[in-house]
Amino acid sequence: MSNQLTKADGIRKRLENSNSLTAALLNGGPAVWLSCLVMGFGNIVAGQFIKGLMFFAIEVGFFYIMGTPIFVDAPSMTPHTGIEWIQLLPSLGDRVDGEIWNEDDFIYETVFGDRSQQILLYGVVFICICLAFIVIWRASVRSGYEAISNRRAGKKVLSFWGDIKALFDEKIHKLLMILPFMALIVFTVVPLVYMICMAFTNYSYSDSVPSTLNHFDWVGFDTFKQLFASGSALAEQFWSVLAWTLTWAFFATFLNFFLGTFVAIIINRPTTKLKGLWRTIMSITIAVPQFVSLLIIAKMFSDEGIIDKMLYNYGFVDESVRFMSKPVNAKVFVILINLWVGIPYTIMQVTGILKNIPADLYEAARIDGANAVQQFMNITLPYMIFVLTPYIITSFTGNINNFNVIFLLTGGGPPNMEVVSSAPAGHTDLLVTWLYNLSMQAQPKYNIAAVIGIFTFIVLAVLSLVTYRSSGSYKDEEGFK
Amino acid sequence: MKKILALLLVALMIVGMTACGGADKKDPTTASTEAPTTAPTTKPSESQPSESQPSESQPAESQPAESQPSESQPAESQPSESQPAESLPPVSANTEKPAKNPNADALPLTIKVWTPAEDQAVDNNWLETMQAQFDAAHPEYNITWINESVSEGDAASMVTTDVSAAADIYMFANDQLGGLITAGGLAKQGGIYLDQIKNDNSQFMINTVTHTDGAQYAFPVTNNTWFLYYNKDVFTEEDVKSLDTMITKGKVCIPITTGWNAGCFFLGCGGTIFGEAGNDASVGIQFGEDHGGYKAAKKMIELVGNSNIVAGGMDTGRLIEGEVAAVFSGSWSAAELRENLGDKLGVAALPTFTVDGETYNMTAMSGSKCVGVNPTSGSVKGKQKACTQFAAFLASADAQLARYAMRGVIPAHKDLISAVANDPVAMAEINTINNSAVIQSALPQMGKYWSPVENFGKSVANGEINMGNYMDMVDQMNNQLNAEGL
Amino acid sequence: MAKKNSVGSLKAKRYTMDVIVHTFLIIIAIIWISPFAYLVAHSFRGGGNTTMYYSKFFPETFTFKHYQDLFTDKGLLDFPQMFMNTLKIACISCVISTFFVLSVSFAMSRLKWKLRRPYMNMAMVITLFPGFMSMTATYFLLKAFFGLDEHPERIHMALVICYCSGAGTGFYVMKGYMDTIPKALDEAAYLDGATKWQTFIKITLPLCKPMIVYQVITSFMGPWCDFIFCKLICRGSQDYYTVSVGLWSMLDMDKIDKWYTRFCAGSVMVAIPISILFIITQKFYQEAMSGSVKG
Repeated sequence: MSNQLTKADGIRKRLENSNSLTAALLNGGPAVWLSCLVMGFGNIVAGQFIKGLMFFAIEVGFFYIMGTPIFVDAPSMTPHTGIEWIQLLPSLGDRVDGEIWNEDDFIYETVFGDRSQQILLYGVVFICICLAFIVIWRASVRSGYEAISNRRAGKKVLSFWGDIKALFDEKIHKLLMILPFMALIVFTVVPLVYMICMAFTNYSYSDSVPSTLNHFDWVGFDTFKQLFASGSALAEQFWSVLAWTLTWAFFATFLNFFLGTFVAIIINRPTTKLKGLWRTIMSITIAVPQFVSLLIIAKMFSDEGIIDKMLYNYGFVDESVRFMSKPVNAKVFVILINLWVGIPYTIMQVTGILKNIPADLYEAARIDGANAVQQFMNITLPYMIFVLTPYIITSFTGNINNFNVIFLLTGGGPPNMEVVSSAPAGHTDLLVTWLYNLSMQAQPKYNIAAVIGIFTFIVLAVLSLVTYRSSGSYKDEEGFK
Repeated sequence: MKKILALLLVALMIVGMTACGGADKKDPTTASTEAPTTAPTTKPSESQPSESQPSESQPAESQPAESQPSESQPAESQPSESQPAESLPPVSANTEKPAKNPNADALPLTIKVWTPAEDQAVDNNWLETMQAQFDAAHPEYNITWINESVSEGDAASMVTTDVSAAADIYMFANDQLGGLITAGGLAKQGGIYLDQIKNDNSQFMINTVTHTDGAQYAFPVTNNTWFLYYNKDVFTEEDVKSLDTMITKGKVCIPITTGWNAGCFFLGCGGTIFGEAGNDASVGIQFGEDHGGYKAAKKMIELVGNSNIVAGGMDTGRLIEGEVAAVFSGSWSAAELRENLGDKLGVAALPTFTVDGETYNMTAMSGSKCVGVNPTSGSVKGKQKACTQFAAFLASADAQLARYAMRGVIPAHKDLISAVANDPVAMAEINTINNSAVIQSALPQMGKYWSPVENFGKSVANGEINMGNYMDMVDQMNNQLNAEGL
Repeated sequence: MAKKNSVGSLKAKRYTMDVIVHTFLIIIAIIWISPFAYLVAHSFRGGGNTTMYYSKFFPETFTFKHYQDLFTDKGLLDFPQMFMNTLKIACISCVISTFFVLSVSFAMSRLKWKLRRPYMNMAMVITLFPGFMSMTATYFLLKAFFGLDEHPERIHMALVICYCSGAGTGFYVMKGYMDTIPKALDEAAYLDGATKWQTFIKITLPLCKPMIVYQVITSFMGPWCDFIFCKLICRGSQDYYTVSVGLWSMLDMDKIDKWYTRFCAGSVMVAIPISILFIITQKFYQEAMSGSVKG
């Protein structure tokens, strides 16, 4: 019995000491309760005028944007309040466009209906605003409670200036994080949520009337089914792109790693002259913007380009090679060019590490009579792989999303003849370039693009989870606490 | 070293900041052009013309109009370069309007226009010239123009991405028509505007802007096709009528590796793309045996085997370099080729070819480039009417002729053929359209066309398709062209 | 005698090895440089042929004309303006995003706070989504936020925000580096009465110098290379284009014949300053890249 009592006591004590929301609501008293309705009231009562007013201003601002029609549904020019945008979300708008013949002006006037795309976007935005408001509301109640209980206890209540000073000291993480975090949420997370929602709609180009580009609906997992169902052309397309994406990432990563290490070792040999010069020359591919270097290479190796022509003119080949217009050629070609882009990065990474390998390992090996190749296979490579595993993983995931190399070199081509689907992809298209084409072409398929994006995420997430969990840096991170 | 680096970065920052400041200073002027009260110029022209200038600039403004009757346009010399200085005044002339027209009733409108950058070249601005004329003719509007350059090829995807932020009036290639209509980006035309489309254009051009519902949605302003450029030292005018004659005398580059051109032999032998008018999806694309597909393939293989044939794309560079004596390309290559080949450059419509004793004409898939109105302009009262009027004005005979004079863009207007009769490039283009062209369909199903045909052409070029397997390959291509799925 | 022989043969062997290695390196160097040699050569190509198609690797005659045209013939594409636009955006966004990255990494590496771990996980999850997935949405948000329809002059502001918004997730390399700086330094500073801000500014930042240089360079280069977002946000407003969008548009089908050599010239103009900057700072770059991997 007494045991239970102490337990309850303990909880109460903890509640009193903590400034959690529940504690605030339980122990706060009327001022705190009122500040649940009028944000900042508690702070003002406790003497923190500026802070309290700021909370109150946020509240006023929130209710203003939720209740005032400020964002306009573009073509129909119907203004909606924040609440209305959220209310429209489930239906994504019902009013469809109409057409009226204007006899006087000789024009067909459009009576604009809803635009589902805007409803979805603003719906997501306003939901996020609501969530953000809840977070701030919670903070305001807690802050009010803290201030009031400090005052009650006779402790000093922080002035506004004191708050600012705290931001530069014990609360510095708030100061440092606020801007990057906001930018991240507004321009990365919100768009992502919006795009993920799109995967569950039929937002794409089609022949139907009214057009699904302007008026789309929630369709659940239909798009996923289309893309993964066996037998459909779209699924066939998808798996072939996925297979190539993984093949590409594998070759691009490992060839880069091995050949890069090889070149780095050669440069690092004690008797190699002009080490710096070689490294600088190689790193020119890092220095020059990729879109310049890759575009120029694409032009050099195109069917009409200089390389094909020179090979032919000097008699190396009997007929033009067509680096980029035959499927197999194109695939080999992009992997080779990626070496040209990627090896310098590997060299940079590896050079420092090569110097770190304990010299006595080599000494011992040499005494045992190991030759250079054996030394490389038994000492250098294992050491490198051990140290560079995280790097290899990152570059593997990076290559899965390697947009520039593919887009600038082949643009995904040559077109795949075998599969005719509603979302055509070329032989060298990666998931990411396919996604780009689907959402930027004149007949966009946003929903399919969104599903591809989500799938790419899943692939990468699985890969990174498996590898990061077991990697050293993750465990170090755990030890941080 | 570190100091140098720091200095360098600081210098960069300063340059950046000054650039920033400079731009900021300029911004207000750019922004002010949007205010309805200011002059309807788009570029903040440095010399704001005083009110006394109109009399001076008046003749200049009518200059393009004056040049219209003279049918002997200097066709050989690139018109755009011959009159850089004189064409400036019309631009400033349109700023006279606020002074002349303090009409309080004038409807203030802000209209955004997308045309290719070449139409808005600083020293040769066709678009602003047209806008000045339009403003003068329509005192009931007080229009602030926002001119942006978007090429005809880019327009469709940019409009589809965000229709309501797209231009009110824009130019596009007709193969995007269907997609634009579906996206709600193109207004249907009717009444006097429909009459204008129908009266001014050949049936072929009308078809290029006709949707599946039979209605017309845009105003054609120029043709979009390709034809033959050749070296007069090698071929005579008689030679270039037949491809078979040509390859006995010199090298020819045939464009069979690009989707747009690769179908030329199939189309010549009787292949069809969505029926006669190019808008009947149920007919499909017919490149098979019963539409002369085998003959076309056979001819292509035969040609590629000929040592005087280079299989490529529209490689005008090969003609400049002298590697071949004839290439196929469109009117956009004319200036470049003329500059390099001078009087040696010959231009002709597509030649004929003979297969199995029968003669066919190489046939170009052709279309139009047209100007359309964005229906979202209707969200401001009276704007869609003004936009439609301006679009119709841009497609009028006068405007097309002015564009020809300033840029060398060949008009699509059927009454203007006589005006360009002395221009070989224009005649080659017009003859190709009239005699040996099929419509580049605007149906969305057209998307299925490009890859199979391009691949077929490429496979012929690299020998994968040969006399042994061509029949199977034609059948396979034909199946792909008509496969299920959009 | 035998011993001397074997030493001699070893020397000979090493010598042949050296020859092979150096030949190999020279070949590689040629392969690495040749595209740029081609680019530079054709930016000076003389004669009337300005098309992509040219029968020689090196042109026969040379001229400055294409550079001249690039900077004087501004009728269609105003290259100097685009260059200044890009410089401006690059400078501003590299300052902001470097600051962002430093702040976030410091908060992640040196400070203990409740949401640290969740934030890191969130950042990790976000980076796993393909960046292009959300580009149209980003465009719509920026449009609504800045009213880009009515105020095209804000395009550059929007672009800067767009380039910086990724900084919140790109802190891993910097954080890895900061982790290697001993904590004792911070604690000594706290004992001396320094605030955390002072520690951040006066202790941590100076120690991260190579990483900061690396970060500045990478974020400075971003806007020069981006041709996707800029095109998407600028749409038709050519006055606000950056060089990459301008160069990209020179390769349009109806421009390439006339503009190919100018494209080469423009590319050289972009590549030169960035390469110089890179070569000057290469040491830091190298240090940062190998430093980020814990050896």
